[in-house]
Amino acid sequence: MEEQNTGQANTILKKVFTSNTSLAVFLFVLLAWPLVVPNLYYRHVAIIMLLGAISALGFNIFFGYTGQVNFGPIAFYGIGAYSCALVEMRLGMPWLIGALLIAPLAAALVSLLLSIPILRLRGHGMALGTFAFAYMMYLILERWTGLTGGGDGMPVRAPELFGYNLRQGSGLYYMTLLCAVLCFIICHWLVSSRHGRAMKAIRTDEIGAAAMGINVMGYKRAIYVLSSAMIGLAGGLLSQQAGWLGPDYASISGNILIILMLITGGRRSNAGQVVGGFFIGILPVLLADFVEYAVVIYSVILMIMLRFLPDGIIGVLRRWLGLPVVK
Amino acid sequence: LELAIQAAIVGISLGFLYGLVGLSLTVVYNSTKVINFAFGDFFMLGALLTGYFVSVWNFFLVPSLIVIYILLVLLSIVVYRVVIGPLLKSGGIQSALLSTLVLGLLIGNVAGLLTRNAPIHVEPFVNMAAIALGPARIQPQYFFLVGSALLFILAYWYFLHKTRWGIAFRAIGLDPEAGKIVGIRTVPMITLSFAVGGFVAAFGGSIFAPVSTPLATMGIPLTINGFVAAVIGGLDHPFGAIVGGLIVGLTSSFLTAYTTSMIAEISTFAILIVILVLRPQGIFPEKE
Repeated sequence: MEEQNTGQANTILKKVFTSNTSLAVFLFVLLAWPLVVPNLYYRHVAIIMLLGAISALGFNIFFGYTGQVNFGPIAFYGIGAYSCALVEMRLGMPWLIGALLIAPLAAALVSLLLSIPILRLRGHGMALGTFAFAYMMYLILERWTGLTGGGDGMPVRAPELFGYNLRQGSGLYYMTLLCAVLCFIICHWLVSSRHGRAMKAIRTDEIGAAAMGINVMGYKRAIYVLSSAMIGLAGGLLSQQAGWLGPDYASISGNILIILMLITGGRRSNAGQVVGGFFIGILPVLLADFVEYAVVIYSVILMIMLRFLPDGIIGVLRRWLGLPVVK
Repeated sequence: LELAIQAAIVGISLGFLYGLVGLSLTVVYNSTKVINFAFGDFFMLGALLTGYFVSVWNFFLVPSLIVIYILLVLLSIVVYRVVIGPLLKSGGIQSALLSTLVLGLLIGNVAGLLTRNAPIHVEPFVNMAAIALGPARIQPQYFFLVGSALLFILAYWYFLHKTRWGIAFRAIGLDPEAGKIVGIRTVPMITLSFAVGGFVAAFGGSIFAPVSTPLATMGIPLTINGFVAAVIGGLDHPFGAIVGGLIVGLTSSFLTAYTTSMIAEISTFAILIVILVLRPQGIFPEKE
């Protein structure tokens, strides 16, 4: 009897989980958030969570769907944030161009250059190459005092549009939300199109994929650049929100955080990245008083997730509801 | 010239350090096809523990070294049994690599919390006056260190080529399936490789403690430099890592001496990129 009840509950939940209505409700909540909760601090937290979702979504198409071992996503976050801040503060460009154009473009350009050596590698080589690049990037941002202000960081002007300070109102929130929705749509389209099948083929069997006529290197490069551009976009938006940019935004701790978002949400699930970005993105805010323990906490969660819940929250949910889990 | 000799000596000893890190990485790589990115932090632990045992708690040198070696070998085996082994079976290479990287960060950060990220000054093992070499004066610890690293490498070569276990060990690296067929048990061999890796880390870390002022955050650069050393030498050649280490160590010490330390640290990455583009299989010819 009880089993039947849970069975029924599961079917209902399954319907709720997979329906478009729940997606619409979720979007509606996000749209209404600044109106319901006018508190500026909570809006700041919401933006941080959305930025988490954007970077996790971007990171996932390369790491998750294409199955490559990129261990240095934070490098592009840092490049996005600093390139946006630098063109705004040193060259006097409008922030809108900096955040929406320069930040993703700079990240895309650097990743395009980096892809020449990095994509020749597999497994451990790519893992350490990308990680070492992120570490070098952090060192440069921290020590090139003349350009970036070094460890003291650099200020970023508050973004203004039509005379409004967007940091004060909800303008920046809606802009971030728009970017997040766009990124989600791009990622969703990408993985459900024939490109998604090509990515899956590369993930499961590279030689086989090449034999089927898939341009393996071209796909890897395109996905890597797109993935970095999205992470760069999140970085650019962050620089506008934060108002003060320090090398900590590009640190190893942030690197682990992005990887943790991806694993917690669930590899190979776009919805999972939103969940992961929201749940894990809020961690730095919650742990603000325990900064020195942050990396230890992230690492422990990450290792437990890898060992016991490798498919993340979405994987657990889907299995519980009897839905297929993408391997 | 004085600066050049100093830089050369520092570079050679750094080279052996990076080479030993690279060696520990290739040892485990050969048996599992996974790079254990946590080994840089094992070296850090080796150096840090030596600092605490010898200079902070004032224990006798040799017993404390033995305790440290045993501790790190055990830790390395635990890491294999608890973290990496299960992931290799279930999650594939992506998860296994990620977990070693995260494990290294965890070790480094816990050590950082416990030591409050303070560097430790360690007394040299050999108490002698500095030796004059041309116009430069060199601490005898450097000679001790290079000598013991060389001895260690010779001993390891003897183990690999002249003992039953060593030969079985190499066989597993060449072809695990064939190794199984001729009756070599894989799991003990992988465990052994982790034990050897942990021992190399403890040994390397401890002999470098007096010249490196151990610090909890030095694990990541060690892992990166050691990996670059291993890649230059080729991951299939355990001793190629030493040559690779010397290249990396000398480059970075000369760059540190004549430019800034930032350029030196970035140079490692540049070397990695150049090697990967030109000769991804390492500088030595491939085995048949």
